[in-house]
Amino acid sequence: MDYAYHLLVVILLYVALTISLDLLIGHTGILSFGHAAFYGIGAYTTAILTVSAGWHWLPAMIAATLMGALVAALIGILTLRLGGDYFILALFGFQLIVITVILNWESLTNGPFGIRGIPRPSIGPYEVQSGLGVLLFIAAVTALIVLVHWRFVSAPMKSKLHAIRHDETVAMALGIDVVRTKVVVFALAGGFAGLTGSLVAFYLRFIDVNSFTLSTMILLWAMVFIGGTRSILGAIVGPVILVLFPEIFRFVGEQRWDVPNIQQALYGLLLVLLMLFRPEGVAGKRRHA
Amino acid sequence: MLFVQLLINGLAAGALYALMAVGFAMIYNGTRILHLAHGAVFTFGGYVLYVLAVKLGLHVALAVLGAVILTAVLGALMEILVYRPLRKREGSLEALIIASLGLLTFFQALFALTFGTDTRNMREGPLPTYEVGELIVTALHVLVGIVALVIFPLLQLFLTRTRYGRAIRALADNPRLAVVLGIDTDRLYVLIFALGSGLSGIAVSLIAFDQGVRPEMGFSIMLFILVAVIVGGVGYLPSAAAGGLVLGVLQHLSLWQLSSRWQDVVVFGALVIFLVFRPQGIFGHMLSVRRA
Repeated sequence: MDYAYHLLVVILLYVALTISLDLLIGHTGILSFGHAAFYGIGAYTTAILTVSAGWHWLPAMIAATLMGALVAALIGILTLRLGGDYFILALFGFQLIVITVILNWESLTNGPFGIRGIPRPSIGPYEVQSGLGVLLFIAAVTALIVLVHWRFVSAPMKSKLHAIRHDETVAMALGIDVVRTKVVVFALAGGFAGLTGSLVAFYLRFIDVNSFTLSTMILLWAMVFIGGTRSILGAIVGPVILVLFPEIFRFVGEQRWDVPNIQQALYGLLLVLLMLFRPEGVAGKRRHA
Repeated sequence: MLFVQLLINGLAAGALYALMAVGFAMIYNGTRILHLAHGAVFTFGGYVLYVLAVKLGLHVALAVLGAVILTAVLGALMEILVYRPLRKREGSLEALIIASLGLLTFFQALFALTFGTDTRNMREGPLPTYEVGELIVTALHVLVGIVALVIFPLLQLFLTRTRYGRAIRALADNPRLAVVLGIDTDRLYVLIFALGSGLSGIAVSLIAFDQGVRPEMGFSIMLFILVAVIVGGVGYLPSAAAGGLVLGVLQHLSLWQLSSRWQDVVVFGALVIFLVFRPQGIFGHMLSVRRA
């Protein structure tokens, strides 16, 4: 039963990340390769504040969210006015710089060894214990993220974002402040990612840099596109498929297989085939020409 | 003296980046595809070299020739089997990038599954070195210098003096006009991919003898190449080459003051600074190529 809870928690965490990345890719057309970095910034903010500074979990969680949003706003202001390919490269660069800083700023992040001993959240006198309690806690926060996301992309913001995605010049002509809107969306998604990072820190109670690298980012992209963009259902389907998929190997004897690389090879192949044959994803809406 | 030594190391690394950057920029300028899978083609070349030279024991020259030809073939196949169908369906910018990222991920994992994640060495022991005064020059430094001095002028001649070379430049300059002038763009795209990929086959042949072959080598070098192209300036091949050279020198000179752990920050910091303050690169748009 504990293992089923674990799988559910992992799915929920990825749903939160996928839906915030889809806010960028699907809704606004911002192709961000830095999402795993904001996720990591949230996790490290939480770990440092609770373990080294001894903060209570709630202010640490709020600080992680704000930190994700703040860094995203700064990076967004600097890079979002760049053209498509340039922006992609800038975010690749940002992602790698964050990883390098986490690995090398040892006095703050404990370098490659990560930070352990993150306390469990407690509500009043009740400490959120493993199993059902943690699941409910994470489900509640994920539901909050989905709700805010859903409200945000409803009209009238929806048409604004889609105008930007389709044609920035036309959007500007319609009187939309394109860069400002993109910065706001980017900061919101960064805040979501920071909050999710905070959740993962409280859940695992140990974090290191490996959870926030480029392979995480590729996994998130795969989740967005397998589920399908601009669809809350898609943002659930993608993580469900990709989290449960490796479990197959448990039944065929995982020792004989190099599971991580088989996974990576299949994700890669899947992305190529999806783009060729079903760009709208498994659960996404057909695009209108 | 340390400074001069680091400068030599930097120039050698930079010349290798330049070879890769020119191949990538040729593809990017001609087709507008952010061909991240170029890194996978590069790694593929490394393993072809390893199989031919070490496993099958062929002569080194034959193995290098095989690596160059097969990288060219793989690059051309990516264009024919993946990019072309996406383009015909008017796939969006993101579809092309994701497909490319997918190819890179797929091949990197495939190499790890086939050859293992350990470094495969091409030869025993370090490369032969020559001492010039207090400076140390490796055989790789010399070879890289010779190859760069042969390849770049040849490439320039090809692009300016031959029919196909001119067609490639015309396509990079103005794709629509190129079509109007009767240039068969599909065939030309294949040629561009084959040429650009072949250049990465040459680059990997030089690197593999020094550092061996690893599944993720293409990914790390790919990111450096992207930075080199931006730092040099998009749209003009010599500026991509110069960008590679500048980046190699910068990377190695940073060792003068900083620990090697911060090399990546120096390189990607340079990227971010250039993107924010001078997105046209050091050498600007020497051609009037601008994206609409």
